[in-house]
Amino acid sequence: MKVKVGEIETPEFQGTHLWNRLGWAKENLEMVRSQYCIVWEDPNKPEEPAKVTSPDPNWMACALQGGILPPVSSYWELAKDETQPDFERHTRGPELLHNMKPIDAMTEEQAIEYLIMKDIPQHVWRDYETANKPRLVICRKDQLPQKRIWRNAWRIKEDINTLQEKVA
Amino acid sequence: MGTIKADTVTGLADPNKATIPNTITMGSTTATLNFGNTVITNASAGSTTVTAEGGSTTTNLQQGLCKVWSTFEHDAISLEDSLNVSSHSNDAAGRTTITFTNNFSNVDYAYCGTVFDGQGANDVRTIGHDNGTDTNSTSALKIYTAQADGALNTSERLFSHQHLKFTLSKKMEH
Repeated sequence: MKVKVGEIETPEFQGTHLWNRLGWAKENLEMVRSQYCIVWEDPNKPEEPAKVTSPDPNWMACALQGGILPPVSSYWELAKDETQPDFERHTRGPELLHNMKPIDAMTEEQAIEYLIMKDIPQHVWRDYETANKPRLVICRKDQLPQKRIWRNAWRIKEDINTLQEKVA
Repeated sequence: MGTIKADTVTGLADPNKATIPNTITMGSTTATLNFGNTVITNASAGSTTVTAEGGSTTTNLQQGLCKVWSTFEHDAISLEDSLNVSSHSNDAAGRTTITFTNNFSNVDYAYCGTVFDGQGANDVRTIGHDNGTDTNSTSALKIYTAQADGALNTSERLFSHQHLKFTLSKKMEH
């Protein structure tokens, strides 16, 4: 029977394959549906509309529970390996994912920030504060336009400065 | 460490039941376990086969397992359930990126999906991958959905009840 995040103790998972950790979480933890999403624009593709990234509810449960997910730097290292010209297959999985000490429980805000660093290209967020227009916003899903007719025209408002405004 | 030699082991209170706490180690690299008429064989690291229906052929567990699946409503960014997914990205009308928690070992994985029809069993949809602009990686899959005339969806009405269920099967070795 599944329980809410925090109502069960995470087993000692260092050394356990990440796949098995996710299986434990799926069996034991209830999903956590976040009300937040990340709206972002790719500065390398200015013609494309703003993208909306949403955390997976099973993943969010793992993040809030703690002791399951690897450090976000592990994914950076895997991405670096994949860009090598002679890359054929990953070989550092055990070192980076399964034997690395899992990270502790995060708050929802920390989990969203982790997700930005994991799933959004680095060139979007690494220096987003120095960009001359907003290119990344964390917002509630109800702040997005509710109609999709002009979905391909969505852009982040350049003068956005309040959580109460629609962001695109 | 000693060795017990016996042809049959039975339970004490109930001869049909026995309990072994925690871990059983069978063999070293190769091992065979018979569950009645079903044979489970471990031929090497990461290669476990199970007797398939009919009793003659076998199925490789590792290669045959689905490693990632996801059911979500594209336009509403409503994520219903999943396995091994960290996020969904609504990239544009009809375009989605699914990012994994445990990466694949390489990009040679297979995927399949289906679309939930609003009603009437008359919606024609295609799910595809744009090989020209969307590069799949070991950590994420980019797909698009198109309607019968090939256009990506730009109408909320067409895809407001779209569900995509993806299964990806590939040896997830690392």
